[in-house]
Order: sequence, then structure tokens, then C-alpha cells
Amino acid sequence: MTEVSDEEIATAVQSGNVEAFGELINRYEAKLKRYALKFLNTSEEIEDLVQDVFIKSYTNIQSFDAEQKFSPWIYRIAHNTFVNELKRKGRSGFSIFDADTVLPFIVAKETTDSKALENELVEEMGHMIDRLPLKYREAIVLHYYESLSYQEISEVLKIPVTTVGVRMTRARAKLKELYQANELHHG
Amino acid sequence: MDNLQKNILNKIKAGEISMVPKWHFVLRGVLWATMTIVVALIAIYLLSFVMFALRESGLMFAPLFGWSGLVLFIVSSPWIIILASGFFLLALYVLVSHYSFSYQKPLVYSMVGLVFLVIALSSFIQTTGFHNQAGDFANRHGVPGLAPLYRGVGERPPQDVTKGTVSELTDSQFTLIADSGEVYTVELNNRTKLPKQAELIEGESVFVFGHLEETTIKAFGVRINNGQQPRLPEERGEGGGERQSRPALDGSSYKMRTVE
Repeated sequence: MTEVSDEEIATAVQSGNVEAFGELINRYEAKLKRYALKFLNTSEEIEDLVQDVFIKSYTNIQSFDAEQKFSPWIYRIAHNTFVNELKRKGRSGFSIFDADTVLPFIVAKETTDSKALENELVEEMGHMIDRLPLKYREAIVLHYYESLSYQEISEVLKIPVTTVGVRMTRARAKLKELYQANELHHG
Repeated sequence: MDNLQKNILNKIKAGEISMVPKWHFVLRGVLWATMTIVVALIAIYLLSFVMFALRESGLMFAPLFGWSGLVLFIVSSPWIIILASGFFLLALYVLVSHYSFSYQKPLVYSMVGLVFLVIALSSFIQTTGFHNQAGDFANRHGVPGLAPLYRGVGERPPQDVTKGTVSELTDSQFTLIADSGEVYTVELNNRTKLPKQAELIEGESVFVFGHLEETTIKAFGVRINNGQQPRLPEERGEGGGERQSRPALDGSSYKMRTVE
């Protein structure tokens, strides 16, 4: 039996099926909590923030275009909610201007093989990801933990696809540095 | 059903949380698109007006005449309108950045693309005679804001640029009947830059670049006004004067430097 897609469920919610929204919460609660944990680097108020994301999603569900994918849409709401939370706490890691978004870059395309291999590495390096700068950390989390493509990440963050590629490349290089430094430290 | 799910569903059922209706988002999208189009039209209008004003006043050609021309261009350009077009262009970029076709491209592509498009459309509009008609309409009906804007182009020419008609031409000078009706002597020297393959003829409409002292202009540049036939006094409704014959003079009699 084929599973009902997120988009179909969202369409049902738009038609007034409240219980269908329960299924969306069921599917995204753990993912959003993990994203919040990695994004904010703290477990404080995660429950409240994720609840806030779901409330905003329900309130604005009529703006969702069922022709598009649902996950980038809800992650966009989550991203904005978490950025606002960081701003409220006075520790936003984002600047208004990001030089990475200015110029076009040639970046390696994402491949299934390299992704499978890197997934294992990233799993091992979980604690090191927390030490990455926010903009790199978020790209890594959305790609490897939440399985979003570069194109979808570009929609969540509203940045060029090539910039997503640049952030991924730099994040991986930074992780490698951290890993090597860690290896050296532990002999 | 966990706590979070139960909590949210209960709030929805109790009416504490409700959906924003679809029309709200549709209206917001329409307003955004309308604002984008309006701002784009204003940016294109202002930029094409700047081009029109620069062309009509002859300032557009000033930088071709070396440092003196460049300084004249910088000092006399309509900077307020240029800055206003820049502001609207920036506002347009911000509005367009809302759309995925813009934010998914590197800023340098989307920004350059947008600027290029606005400049191309503005250039096209200023060649269509739109501003001549808009100026006539604004002046006839006294449209607030626009009438003084267009009058400024014709009535307040930049200093050191005189537009008029060539008359009584010799090797070292000619008489210029300015559009204002004044008559000036234009002195040419070996540093005066004349148009490439220049063949000034009597009756030709020209822009003369140079400082005016009483009734003499020491020209550092002369440019034929290709976009306009000479406007003689009777055409300007000032009466008097007969249309002059336009004898073609031999261009080889000019030993001046020409614009490369």
C-alpha cells in the first residue's frame, strides 16, 4: 500500500480535515525537534518553539501550494521561527549581507553514493557539527539529517542553490579539520 | 497521540487557532506583484527621463570631450532624479528578491540582469518620443510635479551647453542662433573637438560645449544634434525671420580634432 504523501495530507488539512493535521505533526515533530536542537544548540524551550512552528503552519496552511513539496515549506517556517528566537536572545548568527550569495560558484553536484558514505561520517561527527558556524551547521543538518536536496535547502533558506553547495563544501572541509584535530588530540 | 499533537489539535478544535483564509494570501500575492510592477514602471520612467533630459540638453555627449566635458557632465547631471531612479531600482530588487527565480540565482546575476533589463527598457522608451508627448501633455494640462520637471529640461539648459542652429560659418568660428533666440559667436580652435567626419552646415542643429562670455562661446566641443531638425524662430512661434538656406560646406576646410 502506498503511503499518503505529505502534500496530500496538507491538501486535506486545507479542506478542513483537522485530524489530518495530527498526521503531519506526527510525521514532523521528531524532525523539527532535531532541527531545532542542532540549529539552536540548546534543548531549552524546544518543545514550545516546535509547537509554535506547527501553530504557524496550521494558520498559514492555505498559502501552501500543493504542487510543491511540503517539507521545504514547513522547514522554512521553522527556520524563520528559530532565527527570530536567536534574534530575541540577541545571538543571531546571520548577517543581513552574505558574500556567499553574491557570486556564482561552481560546486560539486550531490550524488547518491557520496551522500550514503558521508551520512555515516556525519553520524559519527554529530558532536562536531555543533561546533560549526550556524550557516554551515544548518546546511549540513538540512541535507544529512533532514534529507533535503540542495534545491530544497535553497528554498528553505532563500539563497542561491550554488551558495548551498558552497556552504556544504566549506562545512565538510571544516568538519574534516575538526576531525583531524580531534584525532591528533586523542593520539 | 502525544502531548504536543493533542495540545495543538485541541486548540484547533476549540477555535483558539484558525486558518488564515486563502483569499488573504491571494490578495497579498496580487498586491506584491502590483507593487513590483508599479515600482518597475516608476524606475523605468525615471531612468528614461534621465536619458531623455541628458539627450535633450546635450549633456549625454559631454564626456566625449575630455576632462572639461566630464566635469560638465558630473556638475550638471540631474542627480536628484538619478538618485531617485537608483532608489526605485533598489526597491525593485528587494521586491523581486521575494520570487524564487530571483533568490535562487547569485545576487550578481539577478542584480545585473535586473539593471540591464531596466536600462534596456528605459533606452527604448526614450527613443520612442514618449517623453516629448508626456512633456507636451504635462505642460498643456499643468500636471503637478511633471510640468515643472519637463519645463526644466527645455527652459533651464545646463551651463556651458548651448543648443542652437549654425549660421555664418567660417574656418575659425560660426554664429549660433540659440533655441532661446539669442545669437552667439562660437570660437573654434585647434583643441575644439568636432564630430567625427564633421561637416557642419548652416542651418544644422548643434550642441556647443564651452563657456559663454557675453556673446562669445569658447567651444571645447561641438556635437550635431542628430535627433532634431533645426527649430527656426517662426517654428518656435516667435515670428520674424525667414528659413535660411542650408549650404553644405566642405568638411575638409576643418582642421580641428574630431571625436574618436
